[in-house]
Amino acid sequence: MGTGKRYVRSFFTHIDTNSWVMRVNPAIKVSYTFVFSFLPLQVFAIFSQHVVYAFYLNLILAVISIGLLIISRISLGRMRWLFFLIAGMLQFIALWNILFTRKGGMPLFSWQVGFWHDTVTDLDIIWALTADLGYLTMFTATMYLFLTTRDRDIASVLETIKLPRTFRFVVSLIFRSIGIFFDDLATAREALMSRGVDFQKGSILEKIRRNSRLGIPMILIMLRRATDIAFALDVRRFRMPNVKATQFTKIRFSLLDLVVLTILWVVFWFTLAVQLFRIDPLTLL
Amino acid sequence: MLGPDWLITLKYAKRSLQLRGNVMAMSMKKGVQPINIVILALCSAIATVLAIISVQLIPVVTIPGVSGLFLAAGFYVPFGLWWGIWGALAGGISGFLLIAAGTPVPLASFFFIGDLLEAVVPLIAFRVLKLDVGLRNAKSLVGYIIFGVIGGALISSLVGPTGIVVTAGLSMDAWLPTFIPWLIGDMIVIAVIGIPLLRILTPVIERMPGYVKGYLS
Repeated sequence: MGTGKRYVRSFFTHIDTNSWVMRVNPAIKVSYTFVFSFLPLQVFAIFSQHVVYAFYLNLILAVISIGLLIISRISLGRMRWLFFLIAGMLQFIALWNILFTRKGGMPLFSWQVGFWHDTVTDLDIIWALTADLGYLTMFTATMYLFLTTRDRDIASVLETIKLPRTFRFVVSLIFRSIGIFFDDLATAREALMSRGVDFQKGSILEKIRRNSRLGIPMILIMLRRATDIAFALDVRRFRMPNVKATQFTKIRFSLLDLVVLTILWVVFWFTLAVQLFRIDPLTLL
Repeated sequence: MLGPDWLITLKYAKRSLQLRGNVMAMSMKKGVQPINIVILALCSAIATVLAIISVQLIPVVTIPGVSGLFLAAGFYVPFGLWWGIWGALAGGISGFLLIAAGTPVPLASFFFIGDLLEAVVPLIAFRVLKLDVGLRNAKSLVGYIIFGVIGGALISSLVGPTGIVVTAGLSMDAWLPTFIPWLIGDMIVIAVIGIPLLRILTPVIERMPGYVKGYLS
């Protein structure tokens, strides 16, 4: 007898259907990703003169977004290469801000390379950390969406916010096709390798040429599929402008869902208003 | 006398020809057709796959979502020339969908604009100057180099680094060191991949449904 565990596939991984992540409303996941992707930028803009406040706010955002990812208990093994890139990015952001940002404060040390010289202060370092935390928040919020959401969930959210059916169809088809084309790419690659093509050897330009050859069979496969799909749409009377169609999945909102969504969007619009109308944030705190 | 098997075969052949006729008739209709929408979606998917592959193959370690040589650009510029705005939009969408490769949403929005313009600029040039998409004469080849290779890459490399500076909270000092390698990388890819692609595949794609001679249909 099996354990009874069933898994569904999100964009990058498989999630246990009993996981709490699967019960979260997709509209909340999309809203959270969108809002938490822009909040760090708004913090940069609003608190650019108040570095310490910006640091604490971005720290709170980073703790929330990383914490959500951790308590989701999703396997991140396939994403190892991404975290390696992110580590590099965070170092670059920190170093650049330390060397080239001038936020005032207590001088800590000076540096000079050729004609360039500058003094690094405590606020420069805090701002560098703030920028790191902001980028980390944006990254983890985006990854949360792709790790915990299926393509049909995104289509359901688009239907909920009453976007046109043509737009929803395009988005669904894109997400479905990405996985299929990855498989086609692997097949084309193996076919070329069986004919003696070596993708690892040679200069960068030669590697580009060899890898770009994979695009030709993919384009031809794509054209054949496009013709079949377009014909299927014609047969099923898919018409433009949009005709009302029956939706297979519908999102239902509970009271808690509505409360969370309201909080997220109120925070977003409030910070945007503060930024646009140049309100001094310290008068609000 | 023809037996029942032959009759069934004939019926099937007749239906099959009718279906092909339907497809060809569909392609001869004017205006935006479902096939344009399908091509937009599938081109976006291919461009996104190639974009993610580029980031994995030749990553810029300090900037996730950015590749040292962005292979997708060599494809979506020709997509724009073959399928008009639908192909150009595919380029923009592939830039936005780099959120799947770790790019934050605000930065991906800049990539959407940059990549879209990168494909739109040569598209407009080719349509206005009535250049041959298959690059079958010197004038078209020179036009592609000027508006596709140089113009498109320039637009993209103006927008992309601006997005990186803005979203990563960097000072404007970081802009130029990001702009120059971006420009050179895109120019190489659009030339090395785009030119052979247009010369080899244009004669095939011109005959297929969905090919756009104008901007939308």
